[in-house]
Amino acid sequence: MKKQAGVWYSLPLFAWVTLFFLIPIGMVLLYSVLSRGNFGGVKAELSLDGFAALGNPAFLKTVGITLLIALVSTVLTILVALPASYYIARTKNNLTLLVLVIIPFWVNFLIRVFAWMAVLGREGFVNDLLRWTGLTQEPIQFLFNIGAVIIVHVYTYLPFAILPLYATIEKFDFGLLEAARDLGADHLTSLKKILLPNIRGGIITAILFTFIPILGSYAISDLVGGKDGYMLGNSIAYYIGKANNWPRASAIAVVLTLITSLGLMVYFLLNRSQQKTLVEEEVK
Amino acid sequence: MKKLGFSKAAYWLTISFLFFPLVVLAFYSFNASPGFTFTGFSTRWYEALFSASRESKSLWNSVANSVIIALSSASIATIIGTLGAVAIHWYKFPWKRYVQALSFVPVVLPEIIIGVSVLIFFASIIRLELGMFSILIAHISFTLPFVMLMVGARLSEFDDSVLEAARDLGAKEHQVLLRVILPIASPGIFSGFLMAVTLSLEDFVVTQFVRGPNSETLPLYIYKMVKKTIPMEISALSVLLVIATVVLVFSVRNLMKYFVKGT
Amino acid sequence: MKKSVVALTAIVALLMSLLVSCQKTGSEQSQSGGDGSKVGASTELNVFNWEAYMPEEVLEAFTKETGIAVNYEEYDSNETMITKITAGSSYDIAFPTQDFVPALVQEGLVQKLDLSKLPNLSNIDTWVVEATQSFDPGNQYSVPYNIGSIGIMYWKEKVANPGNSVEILSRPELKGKTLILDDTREVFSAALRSLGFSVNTVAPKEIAAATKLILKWKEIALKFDISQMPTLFGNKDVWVALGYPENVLSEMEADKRQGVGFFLLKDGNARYLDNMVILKDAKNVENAYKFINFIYRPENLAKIADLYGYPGVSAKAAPLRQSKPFYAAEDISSFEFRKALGSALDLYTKAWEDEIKIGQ
Repeated sequence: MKKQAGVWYSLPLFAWVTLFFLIPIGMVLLYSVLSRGNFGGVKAELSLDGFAALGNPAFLKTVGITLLIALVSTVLTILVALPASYYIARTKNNLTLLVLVIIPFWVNFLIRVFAWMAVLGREGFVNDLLRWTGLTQEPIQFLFNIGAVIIVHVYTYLPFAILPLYATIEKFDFGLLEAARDLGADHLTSLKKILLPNIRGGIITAILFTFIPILGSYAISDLVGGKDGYMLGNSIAYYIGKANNWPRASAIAVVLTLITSLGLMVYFLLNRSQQKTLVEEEVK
Repeated sequence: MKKLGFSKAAYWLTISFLFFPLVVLAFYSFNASPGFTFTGFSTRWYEALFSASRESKSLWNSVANSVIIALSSASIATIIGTLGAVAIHWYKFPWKRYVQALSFVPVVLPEIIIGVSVLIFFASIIRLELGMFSILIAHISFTLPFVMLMVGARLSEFDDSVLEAARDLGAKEHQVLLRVILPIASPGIFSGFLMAVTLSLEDFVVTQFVRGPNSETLPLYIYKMVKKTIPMEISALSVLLVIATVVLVFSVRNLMKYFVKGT
Repeated sequence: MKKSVVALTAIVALLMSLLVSCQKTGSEQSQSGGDGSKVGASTELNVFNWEAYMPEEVLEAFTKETGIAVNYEEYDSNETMITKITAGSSYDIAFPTQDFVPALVQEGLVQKLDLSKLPNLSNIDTWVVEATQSFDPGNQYSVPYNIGSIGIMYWKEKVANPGNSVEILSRPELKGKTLILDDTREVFSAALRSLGFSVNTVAPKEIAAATKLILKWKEIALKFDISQMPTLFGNKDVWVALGYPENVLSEMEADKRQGVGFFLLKDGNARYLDNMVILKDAKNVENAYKFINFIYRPENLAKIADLYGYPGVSAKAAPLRQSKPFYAAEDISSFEFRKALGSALDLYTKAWEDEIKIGQ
């Protein structure tokens, strides 16, 4: 009876993940080694054309730029998020502080991107301010380059980093810091030597929550990037939506998945010492 | 506490960074002329939102589509996800490791891969017509794991002695589910549901791939407008949406807790 | 509290599934309208058209007159349109360019037309209908919508001597200040013509030379993008744009428009001839005919040509027009029409995807 109940409860989930996760992802793998159809879709012939162009230096540059954008944005996000979440964790009755972090997150992210266009655009707020104060004559082009893509990514993923960081810092025993200081360590040293190692799990989770989504990001670089802010996500969207080259899109998706898996492996390796992985957290 | 000086400053700087663009956008939503050169105060964009033009009709139509998709996909994801989390947490069944591993996939794979794979699946094997229904399925898929995470986190606060106790008292399995497990899990279920609604309302990438005729959602509409014009009505709309959400969340303090826990 | 939460969730779930199922039956109903037996049942029409190609005014008038609600959606290139349709989007009407009509027919994506339901086709000039015979003899599958050409727009205050050719796209001093539309054959046409080749060439050497030229433009350009062109050009983020003038200028206020210069490419270019087709999976076929026939009324043709500054395709509409077109029909009468190239199109696609667009 008890065993049967488990079967019944998990059946919808079983069906769903098989039908809508496993098979579709298998299809992407399959499509990446087929030849392209005339207008989307594929022909049932094996072909490595999808992967062939990926050795092109221009494509490797796209991979490099994507990694660069993801890396720099993640590092900046964590650097901004650490002190902010530390302050939230150390404040009593911090619900309002948390909500303040989350409110911008309720505004649709495309509107947030649009807001940055209003701030940084040629006729935007900052340029108006600069001209009004007489600092510049001609408006400065802030948008449509890698810098703009990185700023907007940091902005978008900040709450994703602050929340897990806050959750780990909150559990940290701040008595340890007092103890370190009593033993003669200054504030900064005690933070570095005691706090950071103890919240490593949170930092790694925060990195994971920012780095991976940015790797596959597409709309931000499409709206505020120029041709040098072109990322893997844009490439996939182009080949599937416009170029009708589904094998190529699938091949790039496979490459992106591999890069992501590499990141995940690093995550699990780093986290093994913590004895706590995300999967286990979910399961148990 | 005086040691918090730096982090306090950092926090408020961060908050200013988060709010600054939104404030700028709100400011321009009262601009008398289109674009980002302020020429005078006006509420014309707010009026335009509620006018009878085709433009504003298609905007509200997209809002309605978004709400329908969000509520229905979140409901179904909540049902499937809750049952799944309960099964994984407290029961044995043959394909346990399989669903555990697979249901985790959308959390760790970039959204765009989910979008591409689901589109290829719809367009090839099942030849599903793209539209509201295909968006619904895709949204259930990527919100499902988050519901499971939320419910699972709540369930892990209890061990199965509560279930054993109920069974010892002669409860049937369905009674255990309805009378014991669901009440225990309900905060997690609610957080999961809220998170699923939020994720669904927010989604652009996956939706863009699986959309069809007459199924434009709000993010798709916003994207289209931001791309080809400077949509002043969208700034006005976002101001109204922020006010509405803040009022809703602060008037129901419990809701706020769910949201904070939920994200 | 907990119980009420569960109850609330359950109620919402039920309600929503109901709503979605209602929606579904709604669309099934209109599906039955498509087979012709219950024509009156459908009050919807799904139109899939290019960006900036149909005045809101015309759509509103159509709905007002017929009671048919128009779901109007836009695409940025023929390729995007075809991908969406083959992937499973059931639109009723689409607007392919002449070189894509044969492909749509060959792939079985469009229906045969019953021209007796389109009496207003007679309002279209004969030279236009004749031009369509080369790719769709007898207008079996498509009827013409509009003829036009891309050109170069520039801000007069920023560019002192614009010249009159694509040479402007290679100027180093304009680095990051030019924008090029994202359309394989349009861009190739401009490049091929400036090198003195036909826009329909299938000679690999000529295509390679054009590719080289486009790569030079790419060095200078901010990016390839058509959807964002109105914003980027309108904000002066870029000063020079190769694209459809109607996309950019129709969004612009009149006084701002004064500052914009426009020219057609002096080496000649391709003309596009866009057509209306009814798609194979269309659910609202009768409404689609009504819509096309409605468009063909002179007053509507005039409104379309006016808003987007087209030379127009109907002499009957000409007297109703209220504004001057951006260019005259004679200005582009020497321009080539693009032909469908069949499998030779691969030469273009390969160059575009593997050499030009890769890495944007």
